[in-house]
Amino acid sequence: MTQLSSILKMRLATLRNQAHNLKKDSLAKIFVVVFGLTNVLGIGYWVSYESFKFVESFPAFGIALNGKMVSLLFFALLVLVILSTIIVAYATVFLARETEYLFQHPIPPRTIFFVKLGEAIAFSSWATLFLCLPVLVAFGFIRKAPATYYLESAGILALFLLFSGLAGTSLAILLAPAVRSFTPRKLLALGGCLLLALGWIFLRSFNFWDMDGENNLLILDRFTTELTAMHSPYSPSYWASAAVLAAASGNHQEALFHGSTLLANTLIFVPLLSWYGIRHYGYQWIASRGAPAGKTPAKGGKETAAAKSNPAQERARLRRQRAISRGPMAALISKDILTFVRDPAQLSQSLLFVLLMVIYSLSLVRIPAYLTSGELQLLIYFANLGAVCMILSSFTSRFLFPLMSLEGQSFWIVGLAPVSRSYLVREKVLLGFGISLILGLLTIIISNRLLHSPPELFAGAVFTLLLAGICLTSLATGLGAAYPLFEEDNPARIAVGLGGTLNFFASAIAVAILIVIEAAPYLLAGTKPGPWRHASHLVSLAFTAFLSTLSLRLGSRAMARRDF
Amino acid sequence: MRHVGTLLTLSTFLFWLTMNSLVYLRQLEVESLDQYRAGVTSFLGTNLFRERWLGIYKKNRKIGYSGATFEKVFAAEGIEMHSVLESKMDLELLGRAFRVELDGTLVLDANMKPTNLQVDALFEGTARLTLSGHREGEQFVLTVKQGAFPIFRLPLHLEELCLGNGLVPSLPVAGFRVGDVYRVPCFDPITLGRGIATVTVVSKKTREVDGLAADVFCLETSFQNVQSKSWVTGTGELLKQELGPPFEDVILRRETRESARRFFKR
Repeated sequence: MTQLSSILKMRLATLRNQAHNLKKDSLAKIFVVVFGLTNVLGIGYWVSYESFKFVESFPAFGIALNGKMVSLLFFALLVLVILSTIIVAYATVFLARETEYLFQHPIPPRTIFFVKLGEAIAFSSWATLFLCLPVLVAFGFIRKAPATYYLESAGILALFLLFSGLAGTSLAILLAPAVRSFTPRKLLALGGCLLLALGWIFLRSFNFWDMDGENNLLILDRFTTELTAMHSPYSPSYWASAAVLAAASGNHQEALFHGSTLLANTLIFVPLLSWYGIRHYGYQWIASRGAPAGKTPAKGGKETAAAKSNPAQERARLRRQRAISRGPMAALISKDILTFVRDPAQLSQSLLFVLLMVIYSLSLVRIPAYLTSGELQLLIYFANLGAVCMILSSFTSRFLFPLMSLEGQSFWIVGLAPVSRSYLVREKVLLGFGISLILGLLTIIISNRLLHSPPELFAGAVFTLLLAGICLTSLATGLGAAYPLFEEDNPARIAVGLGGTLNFFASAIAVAILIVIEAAPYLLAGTKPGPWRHASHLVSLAFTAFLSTLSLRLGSRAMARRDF
Repeated sequence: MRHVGTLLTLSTFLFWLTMNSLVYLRQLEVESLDQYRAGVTSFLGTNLFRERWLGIYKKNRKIGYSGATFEKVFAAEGIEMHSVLESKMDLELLGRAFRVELDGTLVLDANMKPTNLQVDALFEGTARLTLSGHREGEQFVLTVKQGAFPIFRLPLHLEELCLGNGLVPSLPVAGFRVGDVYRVPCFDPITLGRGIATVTVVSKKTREVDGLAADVFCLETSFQNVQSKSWVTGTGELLKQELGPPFEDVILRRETRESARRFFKR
């Protein structure tokens, strides 16, 4: 207990010091973050309330369908939070630098395990808690639930996320020995196969290919009715959703029963994980330090050894190497890519991200015909543009913002390179822009093809995405350089820090401004805006140039002023 | 203090075992329920209260309404189901029109067997009947009075009971599968007749409901030589009922409580 309280005191002291060190610009930053979070809460509530109200306006099946949608929410949360905790928990419990630091102190492995476990669960589920609370509040308002419902549903949601987090961690520690024995390539192939299988089961479960787009509520109703795992009385998501639905109808006895079942199944993890912490965690952590991913010699190594015995092959190898690494830019980019690929947490999360883009594109395959013609076409066009840009902004916030911070304590090595620090910032922009452009362009081209956008709108979408890519990459890299967290080695934590959150909201605002500028001619002059469309493109270009220059200058100056 | 950890671990395991056993036992109980009780459990779900309101139409002219509420109550004696009936309609018999009004409550125990019944039946210009029922040992005794005078006393075998609305009984059930057959004893407060209502789930079709496509089950009900057809959603929302002879021109359509009652506020 003494060691645990020491660690907790250390955490509190860190927070206190951060609060004391707030400067004037940080206060502005906090204001933007708080304002943004309040907006997210408000928008989350409004969207959920309107959706529930719309579905409930079909009295024959709307009330039941809303109940099923709450069940579906908990089922989806169970899968997503468990998946995300597996990744975060593995990185936090076994790979984090702070874990190594804690092991250097006379702290029992169990205490370290529970501290890191708490962090992993908190990091993987705080955003879910924050985003799902407005949904449950909206559901309560729609159902005219009693006042106790709000307390009960908040408690159930928190307990459910704790359960999912603990289940995810348990899976992570069970999978850890297997993960260590696999090479990254095998691991990727296995993860890919698993995702494909899950995706296939998911799409097949509601006859996705038979959807005609007009009967989406019918499909949703069938899907939620036929998903047996969601209705099983032994499923944790069923306990949570049944407790929430019972609380909404004032059935406290039923809510208590399901809540208690969830609590019992959550608490059972504590003694089990405690036993693991005492008996196995120390050994497993040491094993994770000593085991390099992939025991077979690297392909390049084999090649090098063979080439050394043959001068012609050695010359050819050097020629190839020179061809791909001309100048410091290519060297730095290849270093960043290698660092990224070698981090299993980063790689797996980026794969999930690509999957999200694929799911988004697939969701447009069976869009109703009436939405892709007439006045609704423009609305859907801009909504799609906004959605793709927002996905891209999540990508830049999660993967590009932490890039500079991830140089960490070894920044001096890069700092010794014969290039300026602003060159480093530009290098990260170039890398980020390249990747986000490939992902963004693919999604925008596929989605606009599926929406049957006419050529001028198609070209406008590609142009806007190019500008959005420049804006978002510059913002993420510039703010990442201006507010780095060099002492942090977990990219997920860097992304959700104060600077990361500021970048997220700044990116959202930038996307909103770009979309409004692009949509302005259509709002003011109707569906045939004529030359105004070109004027709006020019204004967007000017805005992009201004924003990217400003954020890059901010990042470059901050890096130049920094001592190492 | 030394054994606090052990005690906490033990109580955690005990709590886990208890709750999961309760979940398992509850599931066993649900699986052992007869079809009607399983249907009622599915109909209520986690809700404590549900209601059904239907407008009664004859040749597209509204001639009345029928409403029923179903409420799960945690009474001192155990779980009870309170079913409230409210039905008003203009009927025509031998060329003479008269209005029938039914107001009543049926209380059922956890096994769907009646514990108490109270129904007021008003036959406009003809009679006002009071139907009351209570348990006497293994029997449910029904008494019909006109004013203060008892007309007759009918001892019934204590079994599941459903209250009809004078036209066709609509069972509070959900979770249908095509081919399911429900056989439930029903009591009709207008004809004072008691019999077994047989409800068969005939088919499942996609129909337009409230302007949108929805999966709907077609149910055929047979009660006191009257056949009827009902369209119900999977969650037990009754959408429409069509009656057979001698009421073949009567249709009942789902309405809200307010719109159903509006007809008689004149």
